[in-house]
Order: sequence, then structure tokens, then C-alpha cells
Amino acid sequence: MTVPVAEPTAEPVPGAPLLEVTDLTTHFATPGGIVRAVDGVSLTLERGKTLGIVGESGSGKTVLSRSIMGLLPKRGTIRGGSVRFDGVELMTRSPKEMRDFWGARMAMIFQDPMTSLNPVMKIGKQITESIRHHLDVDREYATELAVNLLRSVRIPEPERRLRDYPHQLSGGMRQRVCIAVALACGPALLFADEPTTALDVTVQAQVLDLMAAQQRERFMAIVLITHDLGVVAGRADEIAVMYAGRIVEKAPTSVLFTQTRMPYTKALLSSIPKLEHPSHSRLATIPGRPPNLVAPPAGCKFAPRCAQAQPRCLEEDPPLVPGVVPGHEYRCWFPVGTPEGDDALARNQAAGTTAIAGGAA
Amino acid sequence: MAALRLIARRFLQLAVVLLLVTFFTFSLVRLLPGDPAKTIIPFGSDQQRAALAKDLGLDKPFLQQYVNYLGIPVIKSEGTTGLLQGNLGRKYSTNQPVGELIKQSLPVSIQLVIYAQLVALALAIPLGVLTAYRAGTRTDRAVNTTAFGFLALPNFVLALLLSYVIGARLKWLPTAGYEPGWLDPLFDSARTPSVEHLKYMVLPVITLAVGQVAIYMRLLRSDMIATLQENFITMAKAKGVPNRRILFRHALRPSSLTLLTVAGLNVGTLIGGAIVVEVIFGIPGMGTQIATAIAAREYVELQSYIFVLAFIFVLINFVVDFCYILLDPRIRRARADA
Ligand SMILES: Nc1ncnc2c1ncn2[C@@H]1O[C@H](COP(=O)(O)OP(=O)(O)O)[C@@H](O)[C@H]1O
Ligand SMILES: [Mg+2]
Repeated sequence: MTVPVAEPTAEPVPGAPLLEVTDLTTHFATPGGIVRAVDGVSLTLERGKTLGIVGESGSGKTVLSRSIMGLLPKRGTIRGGSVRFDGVELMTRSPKEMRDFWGARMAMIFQDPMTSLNPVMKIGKQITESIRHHLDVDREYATELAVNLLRSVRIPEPERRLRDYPHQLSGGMRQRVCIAVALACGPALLFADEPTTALDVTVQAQVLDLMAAQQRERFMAIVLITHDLGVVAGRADEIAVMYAGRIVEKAPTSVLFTQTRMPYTKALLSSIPKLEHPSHSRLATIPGRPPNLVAPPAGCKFAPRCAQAQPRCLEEDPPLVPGVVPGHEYRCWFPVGTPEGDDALARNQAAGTTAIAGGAA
Repeated sequence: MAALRLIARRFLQLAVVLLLVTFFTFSLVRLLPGDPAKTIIPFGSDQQRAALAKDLGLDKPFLQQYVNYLGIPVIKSEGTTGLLQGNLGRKYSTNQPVGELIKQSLPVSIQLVIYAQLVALALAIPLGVLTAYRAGTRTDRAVNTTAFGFLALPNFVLALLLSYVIGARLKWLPTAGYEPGWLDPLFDSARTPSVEHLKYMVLPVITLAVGQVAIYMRLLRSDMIATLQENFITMAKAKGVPNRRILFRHALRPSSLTLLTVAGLNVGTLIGGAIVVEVIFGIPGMGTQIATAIAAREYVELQSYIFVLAFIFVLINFVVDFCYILLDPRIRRARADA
């Protein structure tokens, strides 16, 4: 009798982390060339924990989360690497097989609550449909669950709201409905892709607190995606900083703030909105634009915008290297807060130039 | 309150449209070469014809005839019942009330057009959804090419082809004739529905429907493709909802507004097509009646037919407007505010 090996199984593997992404690549074939939206991302997330993913707009956060979930359309998308959920490999699964995971074991909240609910379907239906699809319950019970869900995301008069259409609710209320939809079947993993970016500043904290409360209650892991380091600062256990489709620095939250190594992280940190005038467009303060993902620069992808870039940065791509604290990793030849980094910065400042400008001269 | 205002406005529009339609048909019909009196008594003397024309009111000035036809009570126009009083006039040659003729022929045409519309939509909706879902693939191209091939085929060619092959050669279905269906008794209680009804309708309905499929399908396809890009579709997918449900429950309804509008307007095209099809398949509907009325220069009969068809057409588009509200709850508010 032979034991089948490497047969994909839906049985969770005991002891495996909830989510284990290894060297995930996601490229898009477009008429303009191959867009390397996600380029070799590895990360691990334990049950009940929160991973923050931070990066400017266009850094590949949305593509990463959808690629992990397997939500991207097949056509034109080239995926590589491995995604293990509960020890189960997801990369080789068909969309049909993935439906057992979607909504039931992993769920997603999207950026814009105005467009992520179906405008012509009643809210109740939008919540109960995944309950009825995944759990074997009758309509009355599903409705009861939906009412409880709406109550748990603090929507007033939940029974009445079930019969409302999305346009009858405010943005904050709609995002709560989206959270209720995502929580409906008690997923173990929740992706929240900029869940508060489209909301009023006053509602943002409420929605984030609500998610945190639900997370504790359900022992659910969250991947919290944002372009604002300030949002994940007090909420994530670990933060991964993304740039041009890669993780450029990853560390436990406090370490990332105290032992920043990557100049891009430093730039993000200095652009966190101050409490007295919070704003969402602050990241524009990093000069320059993210690189072209079809033909990215040869060396470090951030070098063209980096204040301490040296000639080496333009030629050699820095690998992800471990920092002092376990779990801390970064990509940089001249890390911030090290003699090499300080030196490089001082040299550039003395010359009044950067590697790019110097190279061009 | 807002809904009432909306309805009032639509009725005003209806009145204006019908006034224009009656005026134009009235004028156009009279521009046809020929003379009713001559058609009715081809061998009579000039005096006989003049007397007949006087009897029929054809000797009066154009505008007065029009006003009489509408039934607007004005001084010096005797016999002032007309459209306004629900009087559709009489057929010159037989003196039959046109209303009675319409009772016989209208339900026939309505059934034909309804079936054609239903068949066209029943084919176009799944095909539109399929081609949108598979946009850019070989399936998409194959379905599109086939549908457009049928669109390019003129009605009468298809009609003749079908009646020759399926009717005359294979003898599967009758090539001509009609039996009353479910709608006829509602107009004329003397008629009873026959089980043969559908048999007679198959070929004409296919003829009428086939060309519309491509149009409806393309409209739905392009709107569907746009809808499938929407965030709420990704969200539905992320819930683990099966594809079929995403396509038909989530994407179809918000994608069908254009289709609905065009299907409403297209009733006009179908009525036009029905004239040809009814004549070819010998169906005693409005189309056949109109064709005969044109040949016989039956001015009043013709005017009334066109009036009734225009009325139905406007009414359908009226209904379409209300269907919007059913399809998209957001419009309820927008329309009421307008
Ligand atoms: N379907 C696609 N085809 C081609 N390029 C895409 C596609 N989706 C995203 N991209 C590109 O991938 C990059 C990353 O996008 P995204 O993940 O949305 O960024 P973020 O969420 O961090 O703002 C962007 O440059 C975007 O233009
Ligand atoms: Mg994004």
C-alpha cells in the first residue's frame, strides 16, 4: 500500500501557521508588457494575529491580497510561488475548489464601501447569501444570524436595515455592513484592503476598533492593508512595508518604528499624519514616483527616490536580510541607523546630490 | 406626490405624441396616390363617386376632416364623434366599425409580438451573459458571428426559407393560417382558444425573433462586461458565491437597463416586421389589415390602425420607465426628485 504524496488535501495540517506565503509572484500580461505587480513576497501569519501591509498607492497591496485569496481573474494573470492556508496549498486549486474557502474560511473587506455592495440587492440578502451558501441553515435562521451580525457591527435597528438597499446607508454604515458580510461565516482570516480610506476621519477609528473587537471575539487573523502607517501603528502585531511589488522591510510593529532600517520605511514614518491635522494625502510628500513595474530599475527599486542611494544601489538589487531582532528583515545596502547608512547619507548631503543625479552628471 | 407628478407628466407626453402621430398619418395617408371612392366603386360614374365622397366626408377641407376624425367638437362639423369619444371610424367599403376589425386583428399581432419578444430575450439573455463572461474567447466570437449572421438575414428571406423547408418540404408545421390563442377571447368573446394556436405561431415568431437576438445580446454583453468589473462582483466572488449566481443574481439586473429600454423601443421594429411576416404567413393580424387598407385606400381604417399601434407603443415605453424602478432601487429616488 502506498501513501499518496503531495496530494493536495483540504485537511488542515496541525501546527502549521494559518497563512504561509512563499515567494509569491503575480504578474499581468498587458499590451504594454508584463506588469510585475507582486514580485517574490513571503510572509507568515499566525491565528488571531494582525499583519499590517503598508505601502504607497500602486505598490501592489491589493494585487497581493487578491492573489493570496486567489480572487484574480485567470486570464492575463501569471502567478507563481506558494500560498498555504492552514497547511493546505491554495495555488493549485481551481476557483471552484476555492469557493469552499472564500467567505467561509477567508474573507475580504474592500476599500470602497460605496461600490462593494450590490446596489440592487437588499442588505439582508447580501449577508444571508453567503450564510446560506456555506452553512446548511434555513432562511429564518440565516436571517436571525444576519440580524445578530448587524447588531454586532453596531448598526442600529438591524431588523429594519435588512430590508434596506445600500444607497440608503451612509459610507460608515455600509462599511459596517461589509464587515458583517465578511464575518458572516466566521472566517479564520480576514483581509481588510484599506477598509477606512474612503471613510470620514471621524468614522475611521470606529470601524477599525470594531474590527479589532470582532477579531478578539472570534480569534480571527487580520491582514490590514493601508497606505497610512498611522493606521496600523497601534493595531498590527507585525508590519510589512511594500514597495514596487516587494516587501522591503518587515518587523514586529514596535521594532519597525524603533529600528527602522529601510529608507523607504523612514520616509513613510515621517509622513504619518500628525494628530492635529490628519490627512490621507500625506504620502505624496515622498519626492518622486514609484517605478515602472513593466521595466523596473536594475538595482534597488527605491534607489531613484532615496536620499542616501549610492552607485551600488543602482546596480545591485539588495536582498532581504535579517535584522538584529528575530522577525525583522529589510532590503538595503546602506541601512538607516547603521554607520554605512549614516555615512552614505552624509556623503550625498555633502555632495548635494543623490546617486541618480550624480550618475547622470 | 412626486410619483403623481411623474405620471401626470407622462400622460401629457402621451397626448402630445398621439396628436403628432395622428396628424402625420392623417397627412401621409392622404398623400397616397389614388382615391377611395374610385377603389370602392371602380366602374361608377363621376357623380356616383362624388356622392360617395360626400357621404364619406372626403369632400371637406383637409383640416376639417382631421378635426372630425379626432372628434373635437367645433362649430359646423356635424357627426362629431371621433377618437376622443373612442370612435375609430368606419371602413369605407363595408361600413364596418374599425373598432370591431381591431378587436379581431389586434390580439393576433400582440401575441405574435409578445412571443417574438420573449423568444428573442430568452435566447439573448443567456447568450449575452455567456459572451460577457467569456468575453474575448472563441465562444464569444462564435456566438457573436452567428447572431450577426442572423441579423443580416432579411425577415422575408427567412420567412420564405422557413415556410418552404419546415412547412412545405418537411411538413412539420403549417405554412399559413391562424388559430385563436389565449388573448383573442379577451378582445372578442366569440373566439375560443385553440391548441393549434402555437403551431401556427412558431415559424412567424422565429422569423421575427431571430434578428433581434443579436441586438439584445450585444447590448447585454457590453453592459455585463462593465458590471463584471465592479467591486461588488469581486465582493460576491469573495463570499464564495457560485459563478452562476454571480452572473444571474448579482450582475444581470444592474446590467439590464439598456436592454430594457431598447427592448421597449424595439416593439416598434417588431410591429413593422410583423406586417411583412403576417402577410407572408397569412396571419389575420394588424399587419395584414394594414397592408389591405393601404391597397384599398381606406384612409380612416389605416389612420386608426396606426393610431392604435402608436398608442400601444407609447404605453409600452411608459411601462418600461416604471420597470426601471423595479430593476434599480436607486432610480426610485432620483426619478421622484426629478
Ligand atoms: N489587472 C491588472 N492588469 C495590469 N496591471 C495591474 C492590474 N491590477 C493591478 N495592476 C498594477 O499593479 C500595480 C499594483 O496595484 P495595486 O495592487 O492595486 O496597488 P495598491 O493596492 O498598493 O495601491 C499597479 O501598478 C497597477 O497598475
Ligand atoms: Mg489598493
